[in-house]
Amino acid sequence: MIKERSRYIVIRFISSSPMNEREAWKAVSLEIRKIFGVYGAARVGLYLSYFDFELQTGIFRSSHNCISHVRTGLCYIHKYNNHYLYAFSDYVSGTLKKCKEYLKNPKSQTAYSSLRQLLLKQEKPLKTQ
Amino acid sequence: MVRIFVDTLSPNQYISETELATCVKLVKAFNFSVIWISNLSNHLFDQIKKKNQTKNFLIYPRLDLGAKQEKKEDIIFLLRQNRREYPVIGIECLTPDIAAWAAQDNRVDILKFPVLQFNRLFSLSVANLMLKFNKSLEVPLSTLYTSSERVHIPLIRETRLALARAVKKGIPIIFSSSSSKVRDQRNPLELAALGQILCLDSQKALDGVSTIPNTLLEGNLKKIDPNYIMPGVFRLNFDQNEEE
Repeated sequence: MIKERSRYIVIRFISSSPMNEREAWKAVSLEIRKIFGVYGAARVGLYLSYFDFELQTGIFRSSHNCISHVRTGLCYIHKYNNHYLYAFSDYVSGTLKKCKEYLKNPKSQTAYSSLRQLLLKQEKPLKTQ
Repeated sequence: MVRIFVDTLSPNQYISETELATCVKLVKAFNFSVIWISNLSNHLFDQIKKKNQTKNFLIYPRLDLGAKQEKKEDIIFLLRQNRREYPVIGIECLTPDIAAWAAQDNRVDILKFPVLQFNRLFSLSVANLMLKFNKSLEVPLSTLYTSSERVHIPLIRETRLALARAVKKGIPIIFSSSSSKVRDQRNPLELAALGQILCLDSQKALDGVSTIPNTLLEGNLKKIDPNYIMPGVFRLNFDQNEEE
């Protein structure tokens, strides 16, 4: 049997109310489970390895075969707790160390902050039901 | 190899100029290098192009017909009116008749289908005609991820069945967000990932966001060039000859 390797995915979250570690994990994993079911989610093997509250960025670990599943799940994320939520993958690597280095990279930070400004500028509050 | 990603914006008629500008900026921020904006007035398109186009980010107009025109004659009339003005022309096929005609018309580059009737309208005969006349198939992915949850299953099923047919026949598939709002924009790699889930091939999905639309655009830009005469025949050094 071929050994399953893991990949670490840097996922950025942009929302008007900041998310904590648990909420970030829930938003991504629920969407993956909705689309691929319990069996598919088990194949993905999603695990939140690291979360930076200030940057609103998480590093998720998944099976190397199933990165497309995680990215597809991100496509379907629109809102969480009555707030619009934008989640997108930014970087993929084989080690957690490289992903953490990427977070500290000033180039990636400026790109992310400009994107954040752009998205939050036009956001209107969601109507509560 | 660095991929040049291409996306399509389909703004509705009620979109404001500021929102459209934000959409374009967001597409740029998501590392797309080329963007097609469909059915936009010349004045607004020129303004957007002037403000946002750079050396590494190109904006092109695109003509999309078929969604509002019910009759084939109306579409043909508009095609004649706008001949050689747009580098890319797409038709949304709402009936089998229009699909069969659009697959054979040389002015049309891309065929789109309503996603809920994708498998019914994109039949085997239409697929054969598309292959014969070098047409591309476009999948507007934003309809998949912005629709309500109860239609997710039929949408994905219809798209998968139709794309399996297209892959089997070897028809070039273009994946685009075709979004009209800022909220519906997605990363090119996420669009490709969704495409991979639908057509089960990572390379084809990535080509659908980059290589296939790029080659189509390059070919069509040559065709609408004033020095183009016919396939393989170009007028060379036009200005120099005139001066002599």
